[in-house]
Amino acid sequence: MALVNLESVWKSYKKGRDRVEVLNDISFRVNSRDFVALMGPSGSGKTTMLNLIGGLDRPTSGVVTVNDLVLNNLSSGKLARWRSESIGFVFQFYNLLPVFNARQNVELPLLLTKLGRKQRKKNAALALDIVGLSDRARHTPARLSGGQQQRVAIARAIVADPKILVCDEPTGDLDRSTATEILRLLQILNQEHDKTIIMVTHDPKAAEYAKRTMLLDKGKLVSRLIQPDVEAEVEA
Amino acid sequence: MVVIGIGGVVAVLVALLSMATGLTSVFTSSTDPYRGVAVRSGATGELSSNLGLDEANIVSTLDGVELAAAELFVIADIPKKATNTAANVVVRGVSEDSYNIRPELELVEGRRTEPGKNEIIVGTKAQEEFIGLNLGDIVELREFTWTVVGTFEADGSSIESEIWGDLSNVQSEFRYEGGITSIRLRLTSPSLIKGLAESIKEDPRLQVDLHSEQDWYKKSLQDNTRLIKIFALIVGIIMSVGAVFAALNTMYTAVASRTYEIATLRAIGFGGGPVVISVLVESLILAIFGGGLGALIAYLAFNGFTVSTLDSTAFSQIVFDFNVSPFLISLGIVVSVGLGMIGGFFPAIRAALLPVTAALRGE
Amino acid sequence: MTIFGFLIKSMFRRKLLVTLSMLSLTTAFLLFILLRSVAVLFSGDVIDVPDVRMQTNSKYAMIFPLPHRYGEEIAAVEGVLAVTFASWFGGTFREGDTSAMTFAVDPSTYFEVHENYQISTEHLEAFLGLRTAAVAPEAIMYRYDLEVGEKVPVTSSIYPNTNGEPWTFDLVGTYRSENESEAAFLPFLFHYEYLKEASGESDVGWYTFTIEDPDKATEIAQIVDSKFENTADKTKTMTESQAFRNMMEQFGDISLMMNGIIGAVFFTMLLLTANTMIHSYRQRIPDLAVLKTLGFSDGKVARYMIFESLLFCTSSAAVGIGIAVATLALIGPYLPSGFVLIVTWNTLFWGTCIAVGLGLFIGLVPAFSANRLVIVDALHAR
Repeated sequence: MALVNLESVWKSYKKGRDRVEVLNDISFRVNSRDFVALMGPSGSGKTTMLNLIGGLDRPTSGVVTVNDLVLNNLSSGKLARWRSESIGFVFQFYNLLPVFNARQNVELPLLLTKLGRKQRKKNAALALDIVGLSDRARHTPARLSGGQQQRVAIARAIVADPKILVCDEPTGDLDRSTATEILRLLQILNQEHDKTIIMVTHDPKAAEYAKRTMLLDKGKLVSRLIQPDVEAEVEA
Repeated sequence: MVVIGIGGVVAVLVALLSMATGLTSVFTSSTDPYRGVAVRSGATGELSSNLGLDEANIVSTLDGVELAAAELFVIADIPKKATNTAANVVVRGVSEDSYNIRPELELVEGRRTEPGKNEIIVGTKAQEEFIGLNLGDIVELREFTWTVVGTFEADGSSIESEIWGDLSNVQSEFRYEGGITSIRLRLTSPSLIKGLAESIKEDPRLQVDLHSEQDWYKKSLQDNTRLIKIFALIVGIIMSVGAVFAALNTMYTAVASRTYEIATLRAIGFGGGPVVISVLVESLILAIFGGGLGALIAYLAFNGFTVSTLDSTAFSQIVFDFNVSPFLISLGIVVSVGLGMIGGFFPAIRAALLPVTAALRGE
Repeated sequence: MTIFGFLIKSMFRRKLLVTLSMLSLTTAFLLFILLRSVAVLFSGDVIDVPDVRMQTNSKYAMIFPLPHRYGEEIAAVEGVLAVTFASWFGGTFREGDTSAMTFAVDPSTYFEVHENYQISTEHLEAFLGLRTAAVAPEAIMYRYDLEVGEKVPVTSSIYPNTNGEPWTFDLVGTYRSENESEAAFLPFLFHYEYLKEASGESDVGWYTFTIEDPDKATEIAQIVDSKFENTADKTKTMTESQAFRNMMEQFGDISLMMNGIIGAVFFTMLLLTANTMIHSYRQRIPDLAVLKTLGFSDGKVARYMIFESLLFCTSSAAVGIGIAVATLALIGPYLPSGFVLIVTWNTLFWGTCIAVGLGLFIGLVPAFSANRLVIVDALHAR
């Protein structure tokens, strides 16, 4: 059973008088514990697809099912609640709140849970530990490097223990070696913590860390590249 | 936002001060250096003065006195239009010379009172503020009724808030037989007043102080306007503090949103000076505009607005108009310039000290 | 971190902007309290004396004297307990000052009628025992720096001494009232007999008397006034608090004026603060989008904006009101006598209402926009 299932999804926006077709009859599945890279040129609809899976946006037509739940019909309140429980987001520009320190940023999603104050603090510390930033817990984003900020963002994404991580160009703003660290971290989360990861990138090197890569162009899936070595691992 | 904040301050400040100005003009508008007021020694108001007609006769014969009028100042209760509750009005018993001494008094309606009749003429301000003082109305003052036979104006001075009747009638009906409270004098020369005051003081027949009209009203003026002025000052200061914060806020925001432009200017070689000046000038223009707007609002809303309050020296109602004078309007503008300067200064300094490279990088 | 801590912290994202706005709102509430206290004074509501005390004045104006013999006649009215009288002396303690509350009274009955005035037996006996004796309330002692045992010079424009010198009284004691509103209006008291001897005055200013049953106040007032209806000195009798209110009304509608200023101040503040809030909101659109992404619902984010605006307004109000109350307490003793500025519960109630109303109103626009904020657009707006 697929964890994420897109069936003949169309998405168009109004731009002035014109209608822009962004996604064009997309059908796509992601299984549990998969690590998918979505590639494609700018404007190909990668981020839109990611937003649909993350429940930030709704398709014009077609069905988006995640974990047996059809997202199309959910009210925005239910969708928000679902996001807080099921999805972790990682963005290109980290999107940390500048007034809060690292631990507080990580703790944010837990404010929506019923956890007590101490438990929240503990979970946030644990998440920071996983991304290797325990010693920077009290630093505000301004005092952290880009790579460190992205680690905090990843900690924030996993702190509520969602099944799926949705990453939009997580290494887009980082240099090569830092990017590698972040990608390794994602890989660990995928392999050791059983997170299903869907990552948008236009960096082929980044895509290599995924188990498989999908290519989008002009709103259509053009191919499904499967890394042979990963496939072998899966089969074994 | 600078405009609104400073406009609010200036409007309130000008409105409050226009009240003080209006009240001031009541006591100063028609003082005449030729005129003097004689009251019982030590009295600070006509309320606490009492003299006899014999004293008036002595004073009128002194050298330098051109005209002398004995007057009796009493108080009566009449309901105010605004509240329908009784308030004190001055009733002045006057002699023929009272009119001659005050040429500014002008009948606008009816005629003067006839001696021996219970007739009164009413100041326009009193008429405006109190119930039942129109021409032909019959008014009950104390036990007796009086007929309004005339209405007068007097250059906006305090007597416009008074009711005038014939001295002997007021004396008998208000039970002050033979009593007066002041002697109004007109001298042949203003310079005589000091000497005359001294000779009156030394005269063993008289227990009288002579004041120049100006000095006489000065005390009433101070008593009545001091509180308003202090009040206007306190309110003005507190509001100004609030407005400065608002102005600072706006200008800091303006500087922040233009960080990039300012940095670019600095990068291509403009010094800190022009940047400071441009921010200051902007703040000043906004402030002056706000100040002008505030003064205009105060003018439109309050100029000529009539109110009455208790004249604490005479313990009676004094009616006056708010007066938004050109002086107050310019004062309002000056205040707004001051506030604009303060509000623009710190943001201007910040703009000048902006680290150029960081600003260009968009940090 | 708690939700509350989170909200406070995120409110101060633009520290300078928010702090400056809070300060200007604080001054608005400071003004509100000060202006209201002035309005309350002139509405006459500051005084809250027992309704068993009534006052008989001349019908024509409070300043006109009444005959000395009226006292006995008032005492004879059924339901009247004790009668005393006083005369306004209009004394000043310092050159050029406005006149202070100085009354010539009958010492023995005065304290009987004003039974809530507290004076030690020792001081009262000293007062009764000496013709030139006087007692002063604490407010006057403090303001004019007087001490018990001193000879106090007092000038009066109504009763000037024939030689032009000030009157001299032996200050033998002090008294007070537990009733805070009354305390500031307490007069300097001396023997009427002394005044009578020295000036030949034979009338008195007004009568004050206590009655058994406050519900009969109107009835008794009518009986008293009807007694003197056919004399030359007609009277007007009412409760002391009503008389005070009438006196204050003579100053005109100060209350209306104060409310006008308050209105202008808050209208200005409404615009200024709303502007700040909207500005602060705009700056935080990306943050709000992140919150929504993390699963904070539309309603929650909107409520946070309202809460923030409420917090902003109520905390500014609390600080402003606090400063005002402290200021009034500090300057109280330096104000002219009879100038009592107090903060009533009514004032505090309206202050709170304005703070909450302002907070809700100002929070509306940001809350509404935050509610409608589309995550995808907002994230891209960065």
